[in-house]
Amino acid sequence: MKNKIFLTLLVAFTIINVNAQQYITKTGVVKFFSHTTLEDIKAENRKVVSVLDSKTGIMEFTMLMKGFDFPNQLMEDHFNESYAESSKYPKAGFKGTITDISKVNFSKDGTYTVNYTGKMTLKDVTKDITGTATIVVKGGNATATSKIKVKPSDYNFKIPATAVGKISDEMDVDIIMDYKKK
Amino acid sequence: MKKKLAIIATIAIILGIIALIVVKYKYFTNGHNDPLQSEDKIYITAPQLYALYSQFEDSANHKYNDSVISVTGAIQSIELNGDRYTVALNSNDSNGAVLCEMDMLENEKIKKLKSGQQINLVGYCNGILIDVQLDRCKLAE
Repeated sequence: MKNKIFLTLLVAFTIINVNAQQYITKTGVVKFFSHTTLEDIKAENRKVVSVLDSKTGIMEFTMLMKGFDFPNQLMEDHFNESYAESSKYPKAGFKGTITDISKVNFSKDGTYTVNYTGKMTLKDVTKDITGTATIVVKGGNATATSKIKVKPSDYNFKIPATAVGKISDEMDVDIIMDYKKK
Repeated sequence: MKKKLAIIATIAIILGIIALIVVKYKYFTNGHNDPLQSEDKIYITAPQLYALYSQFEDSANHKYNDSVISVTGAIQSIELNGDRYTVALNSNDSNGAVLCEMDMLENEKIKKLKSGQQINLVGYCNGILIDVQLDRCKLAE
């Protein structure tokens, strides 16, 4: 899976120069937040690679699990070693389509609400995802944002007994892609 | 006997306080270990690091992920993303670079750098997507 996502993105990046309808970022952001009465946990990955095709609406992103930055080392170590098993499953990603991309005028500044559907892969588990996103077009570039809910148990995150009650059953995930036209 | 117990108790309390300070410093103050203080740095150039990851990803992951890397190279680009800088080092390969997300404490120093300049950065290696990614990087003196 990890190499498949990488190769797809690499091909997409390689053909950018001959295909002007693509928008890319290497500094997309994915952040998650877990709230329980015992503990709040948040982390942010600021080096997410993503490609958006403004004609077809095909969008994908991939990220390194070890790229998540936590407020302290202990949380980060627990996440990588116990929950995400980041050495075994180093990459995660999404591949899908913005189904109503035609409503976005990429040549005119504006804000658009769009719908998307696709598949998200975490720890080699792939699940269908649907949602809405906001695309802000400004000066020829585009920023896409979306909020989704993710259940760690859906993606084989095993929570040890000592951490039960400290990690929410459902996490809030923010996705922010600062695309530049190439 | 009482004096001996008192001495042992005092030593135990002092050791306990030291342990708490160490744990607090390591995990709960400014958050993370300082890569510059690591005694296990791996020294490599940006082109060498990128070539190893792009050609032998699995073995490079095994050898370099989570390690403190002291990487030397020429600045390809500097971008401010939110509250911190990302410095890309030239890999001599048009497919990718060595992308170093800088520690926010380095912001003032980064402002003085210029594209093309040779620098030495120390940070934690996470792996490769399009670029090899390093986190929490600091400028080596």
